[in-house]
This record gives sequence, C-alpha cells and structure tokens, in this order.
Amino acid sequence: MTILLQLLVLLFIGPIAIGLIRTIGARLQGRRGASLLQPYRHFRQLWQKETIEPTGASVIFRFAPYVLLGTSLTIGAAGPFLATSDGLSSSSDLFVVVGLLFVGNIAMALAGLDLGTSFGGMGASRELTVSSLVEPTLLVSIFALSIPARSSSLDIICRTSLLNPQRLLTPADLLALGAFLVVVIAETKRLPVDNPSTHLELTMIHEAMLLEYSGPRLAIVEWASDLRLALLLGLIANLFFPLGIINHGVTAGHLAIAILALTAKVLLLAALIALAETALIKIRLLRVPELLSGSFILAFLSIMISFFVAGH
Amino acid sequence: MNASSYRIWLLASSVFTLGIAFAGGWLAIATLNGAHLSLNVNWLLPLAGLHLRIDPLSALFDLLTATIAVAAAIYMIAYFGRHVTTRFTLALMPVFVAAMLLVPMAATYYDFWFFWEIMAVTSAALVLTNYRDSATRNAGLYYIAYTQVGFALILASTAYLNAHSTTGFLDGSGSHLAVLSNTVFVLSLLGFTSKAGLLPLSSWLQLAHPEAPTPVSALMSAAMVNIGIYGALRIDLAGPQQSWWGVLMIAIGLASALYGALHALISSDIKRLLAFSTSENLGIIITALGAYELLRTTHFVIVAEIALAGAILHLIGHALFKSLAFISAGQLIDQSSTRDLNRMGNMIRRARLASTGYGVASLGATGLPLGAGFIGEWLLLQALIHTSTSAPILLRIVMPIAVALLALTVGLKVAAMTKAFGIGVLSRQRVPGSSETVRPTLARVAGATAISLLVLANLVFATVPSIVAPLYQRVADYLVPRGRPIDIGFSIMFMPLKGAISPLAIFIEVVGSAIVVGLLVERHIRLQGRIPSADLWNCGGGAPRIRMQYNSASFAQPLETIFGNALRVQEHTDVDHADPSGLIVTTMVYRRSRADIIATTLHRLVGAIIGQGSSLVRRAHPGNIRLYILYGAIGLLIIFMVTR
Repeated sequence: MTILLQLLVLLFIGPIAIGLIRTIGARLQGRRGASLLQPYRHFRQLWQKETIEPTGASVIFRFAPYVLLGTSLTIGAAGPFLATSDGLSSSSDLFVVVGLLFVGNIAMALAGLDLGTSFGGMGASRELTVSSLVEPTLLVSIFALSIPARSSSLDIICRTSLLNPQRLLTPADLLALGAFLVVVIAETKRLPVDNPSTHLELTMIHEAMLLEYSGPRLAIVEWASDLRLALLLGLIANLFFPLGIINHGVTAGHLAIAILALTAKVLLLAALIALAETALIKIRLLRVPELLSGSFILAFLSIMISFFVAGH
Repeated sequence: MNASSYRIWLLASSVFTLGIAFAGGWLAIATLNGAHLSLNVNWLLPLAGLHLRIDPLSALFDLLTATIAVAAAIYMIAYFGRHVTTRFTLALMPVFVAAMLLVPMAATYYDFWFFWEIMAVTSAALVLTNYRDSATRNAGLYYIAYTQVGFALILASTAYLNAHSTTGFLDGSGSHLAVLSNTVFVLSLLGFTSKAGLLPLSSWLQLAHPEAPTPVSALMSAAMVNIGIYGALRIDLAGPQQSWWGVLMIAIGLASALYGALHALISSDIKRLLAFSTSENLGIIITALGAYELLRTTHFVIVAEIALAGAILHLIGHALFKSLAFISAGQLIDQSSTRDLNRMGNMIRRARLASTGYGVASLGATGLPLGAGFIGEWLLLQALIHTSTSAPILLRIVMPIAVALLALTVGLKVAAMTKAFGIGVLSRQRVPGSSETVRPTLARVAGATAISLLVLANLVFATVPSIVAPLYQRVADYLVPRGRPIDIGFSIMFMPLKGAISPLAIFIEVVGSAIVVGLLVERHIRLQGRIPSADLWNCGGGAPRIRMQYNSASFAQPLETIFGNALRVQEHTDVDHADPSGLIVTTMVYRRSRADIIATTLHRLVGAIIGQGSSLVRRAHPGNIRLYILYGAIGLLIIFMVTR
C-alpha cells in the first residue's frame, strides 16, 4: 500500500519538479514561463499523438522506454521515500539502485544506436561516457554514507541517520553531500553537463538519443526521465535530511506528513537546481571528467575522514 | 579426407568430448554429495605414478569445466562443420577437456605438473589450428612463450614445496604450507595469474583468444583461465599467511580489471574485446580472493567469507556468461564473415538467436543487476565496504581504493559491452552482401542448442542463484570450516552484518513493470490505428548514409581521449599541399596509434635482459681452446662439490 502511494507521489512530483525548474529559470531570465503543470499537458498531448516508427527500428528501440521506466519504477518502489523498512527491502540496496539506473541508461543508449543515425550514436556515446564516470563517484559516495550505518541498504542508512541526527552535517557527511549533488546533476543531464532545453547537436547528450521517438513512447521516456530526477532528488533529501520519513507504524497522519515532507524537500532541491543553472554555463564534454573527478575526490575525502578522524 | 569420413570424425570427437565432460561432471557431483573418490595407479605415469582424488574444491572447478565443455562440444559440430579442420585438431579437443578436468584432480605435485603441461600443450596446438595465417602463428608463439614461462614459475616454486612436503599435494588441506615462503608465493602466484590472464603476464590472452577456433576460445576463456584461479586457491591460499600477500593479489586484480576494461572499450575485434573482458573479470575474482586473504589475516573472518563467496559466485557467473558470449559471437562472426564490429550491424535481424545470446551474455558481463555477473560483484563490494572504522590502517586504506577502482572498472566495462552490442548487433548493416550460406541442418541445430542451453543457464543463475548454494556451501565448508554467515536462498543475505538482495525480486519488479507498462502503451498505440513508418531524421539532408553511423572507434572516442595517458594514444595528421604556400590541401591522412604499455614495457625489458646476457656469454667465447678446457675443469669441480 505504502509502496503504491510512494510510487504515485514520485510519479507526480517528477514533472512538477521539472516544471518548477523551468518556471524559476524563466523568471530569473526575465520571462514569464509556462505554468508548473506544463509537463503534464505535454504528456497528454504526446499521449494523443500518433506514433511514427522510424525505418529499421528493432525490438530494442520499441522496448527501451519501458525498460527505462521499469527500472525507475523499481527504484521508486524499493527506496525509502515515504517510509523505511516497508519498502521492498531486498532490492533497496544502494548498489542495486545504482545498477538499475545504469541499466536504464544502457537501454536508452542501445535505442540510440539501434537506428544507426549519427545523432543516436553521438547521444549514446556521450551518455555512456558521462555515466561510466558518474558510477565511481556514486559508488564511493555511497561507501561514505554506508560507513556509519555499516550497511549499504538504503533503509538502514536512513534509519541510522534518523536515530543519530547529530551525525548529519559532520564534515564527512557534507563532503559526501557535495559529491552526491554533482553526481545527480550529471546523471539527470542538467547544466553544466548537458543543456536539456536545447536541441543543438553540439551540446546534446540525452536528447540526441530520443530524436526518433514520437507519441506515447516519447511520453514514457520523458516521464521516466522526470521520475529519475525525482528519485535522485528524493534520495538526496532522505539520505542526508531524513526528517519526516516514517520509521515505523504507518498511519494516515504520518503518511500525510511524509508526503508533504518529501514533496517540499524535492521541490526545494529543484529550486536550488534552477538557481544554479541560471548561474552556470555548459562545459565542454571533455571537461566533464574534471568536474566528476572533483566530486570523486570529495567523496573519497569523506571516506577518509570517516575512517581516520576520531569521533566516528 | 572426404566429406563423410570428416563428418564421422567430427561427430566422434564431439561425442567423445561430451562423454568426458559428463564423466567429469558426474564425478564432481558425486563428490559434492559426499563421496570420497580417489584413484592410485603407481605404474602408469613416470616418477610418481597416477594419483587422483577429488575434494570439494576440485569438484567446483571440474563442474565448471564440465558445464562449459558440454556446450563447447555441442557447438563444435556447428563450428568445425563450417570451418573444416584436420583430424589432429578434432582429436585434440577431448584431450584438452580431459586435461582441464584432471588438473584439479591431481593428488600429487607430479600429476599436477603433468596434466598442467598437457593442458598447456594441447591448448597451444589448438590455438595454432589455422597456422597458415601469420597472425595465428604470431599469437601461438606468444601463447607458447607465456604459458611456458608461467609453467616454469609454477614448477620452480612448487618443486620447492614438493621437496619440503612430507605428505602429498591433496592430502589434507594446508599440510604443505609450513614452508610457503614469500618467494614461493610470489613466483607461484605469477605463474597461476599468467594462466588466468592477469597482469603482468597476460599479453598472450588478447592475442590467442581471437585467433583460436571459437569452441577453443570458449573453452580457454571460460574454463582454462579458471584453472589458474584453482592453482592460486589450492596452493597460495590454503591457509591465512600474510596480509601483504592479499594486498599484492588485490593490486594485481584491480590493475588487470582496469586494464582489461579499458582495452575492451577500445577493441573493435569482437573476440579480442571478449578476451580483454576475461582479463578484467578474472581480475575481479583475484581481487576478491586477495580481499579474502587480507581479511583472514587481519581476523575479519565473517567479511572474509563474504569475499570468498564473491570470488566463487563470480567465477561461476563468469564461466556461464563468457562461454555464451564466445559461442554466440562465433555464430555472429560466421553470419557476417568478419570479426570486426565495424563491419557487422543489424545482426539482430540476420541472426536472431545468436544476437539474443550475445545480449544476455553482455548484460552478464556488465556486472549490472539482472545479469549473471551482478551477484559476485555485489558480494565483493559488500566485503569491501564492511570494513569497520576500528580495522587496521592497512584495511582502511586498501578498501576505499579498491571500491573506487572497481567502480571505475564497472563504468568502463558497461561502456565496452554497450558498444559491442549496440555497434555490432544493432545499427544498420554496414557491409552489404554477406548473406547466409546454406548450412547443414545438424550444424544449425547444434549451434542453436548450445546457445539456448547457455542462455537458460545464465538466466537461471542470474535470477535464482540459490541453485548453486549447495555447491558454494560445500566449497566454503571445505575452505573455511567455521560459521556460515552467508545465506544464498531466494535472497542473498549475511547474518551478523546487515545487507540483503533478492535477484529474483529485482528481476520480477523490473521485467514485470516494464512488460505491464509496455503492453498498456503498445495497446494504446495500436488502438490509434496503423503505425506509419518514416525516414530517419537527418537535419533535412536526405537519407542518412550508412557510413554516417557511429562505429566502434567513434563511440569510444570520448573515453579514449579521457584515458589517453593510460592508453598512450598518439595522433598524427599528415597533410600534403598542392602549392608551395600550403593553402591547398590535396591529401590528409589521420593516424592514431595506441600502445599496450604492459606488453611493450615487459617485452622491451625481457629483450634487454636477454641481449645483455647473450653479450656476456658471447664475450666468454673467444675461441680459445685452453679457456674452454678451463671451463670444463671448473664445471667438473662444481659438480664434485655439489655431489660430494
């Protein structure tokens, strides 16, 4: 029950978070921008449009969007977003979560390569370049988080920080948070790694793989991408600031609080992303490794602090 | 040799290989069920006689070899039916399989060396099957040199052990270890890791595997490399010894893993890519064994057993997905008549089953969830992150670095495997023509059977790893006869520490939700009416040409540039001008070269040492007969002193 509710909440927060990022971005640039609900309207529009199948599309092209959504839904169902321990705890391991995110990336990269267009190949190549460098940072920052909890299970990490709130905001935790933020920005393909609002071949990563999708399938891909943004922001929110999450005993009141807390935290983070994106410019693809190795070093320092500085 | 007699030879060889594989598998299963099997024939082999015995550790490796051999024996009908070879090669196949099964059964050092050498020689002869090709001759030469250097190292170190051991080789685990010194450990580890395709003695692997016939590559890459791990487990890791041994193994393992993943990423030869992937996965296994040794010597016994479980499950997973990868790659190569990924394309329509098999194997090789390689890597990562903050400083330094490098490896190998599948199997067909030649039914059935069996085995292992739980349990009880902290059931968990995953649940969640959503959406699309087909988008520039698609090199280019230092990438652009002022360009040639640092450095070093040595020897040969008589006298003196 909680799992379904959690999935629904995440499925709805995702598009709103994107809408919020776009609205705030527009306001900061002096435009009025579309409403927060524009992503939903976009989905409805795509859902009603006809599907055009590009020549030479194989099974992989047809089913990649569903694999992307399937992996995202699994993470959404298993992770501690509203409640700990009530999720499908056997798959809420952080390594599984990272692996499933990666499986989704692979599905889309294969769809990009399937048709043999230059754009699809370019997008797939860049996507995997970025995500194969994101992976180490993600795993090392997970390691940093799992040291105090003595486990890589998301539920246990959340519960440990709920029980010892003084652990939060230690240097180790802040460094891991910094690393995690960079990773999330790279993984969700936001500025400065990718510019999701352009369709310019020089800058595209994610969008280049989707050029041949249309209609309901495109809607699925976009909704899955929005869901992934919500998932990653939700993970930051709950791993570093686990306030409001239900620890045991689910009641209606608790659920309402948990939903409100999650929404508020995710939207706050989305607003921060919007602010950052206004201040930043996109960097060249070959400079991205510098950004990622920087965050990798932050995560590594965080581990070293946890291991070597007394008091942990 | 006429066609019908060839076919009889081929079938006989295949059936014989199958029989040997089944016999080996049956012996292994009987041992795992508690039987104590041994064979002593004193007169059969020179020096020491034939002494065979199977214990649970041997049974694990025999069972793996037998499983791979069954698939390879079926597949060889398809392969050698198409690529006609000699009777000699056909006759060697069962001998090779038998040797690989007998090495783990050897009960004395003499038998161990004997079967090891049979395995080495038959495999070398099999690599040289197409010896008329100069690339094959070159690869065979490298392989023979490396495998003999490896054997010399093993012989030197274990001969010392043999001389100091009162009991035999398999008689009671660890009885030979009182004298396992640092030198013996390092030498034997080098020898065994060279067979497993690990740095620094690994250059043979990426040369020999692509050139060998595909059934042989499958056997070498999925089964023979394991025998190197067997040697390390049997001789080097029989008891906890010194922490730095574990650190050395972790260093060798991680270096090989990173090196293999990086080179797999830039290879465009499909079999060479898989060979590098073998190097990388065996690197992960030896890293797990190193962690096992390191944690045992520092008395973190529970975590050590998790590392051991990671090593064993990854060993099983690797054997399954790598044999499938080689066999389905063999079918893809036959279908497209090329090993170059850049000349394949659209195989998913031209060879459906082989493409599926290759896809399943690639997913396994990425080490991501849903694949056969995930469980082992997950266990290894769990062992690495469960280092407590009160652990010795060595652990607190080694473990985070290991996690970081392992993660980098995973990222790179995912890119490599996606490239191989996306460029080779998907994409549009690059080279026109090469159509299916009509093949005999038997060959087709054999190829399809081998692939289907392995796909099934991979899927079952990836979703329900509990089927290997009894196997693992027996081996773990034999190696670490104390508690059993790991429970491999439908979900894998370890008790005193916290952590659990359920591969089956993940599989059901992901595949189930993808199918449900997929059915709903596709039904909606069908209900909207006919699906129109449209040309690919090309910025309004007409139909995209075939050469416009990304190929293997362009796909890997960003990562290759990023890791340019490690790969020693060198780029040259030669420009010819038509006019003296250099304004009009007639031709422009772009060249890019990459050096294999390990091989070139090692070969240069060995070459330099041999050169120095031989110039010394040459100086001692001035042609003076009195000097030669003096040499003889000194030699005689030494002999008298030694044998006195």
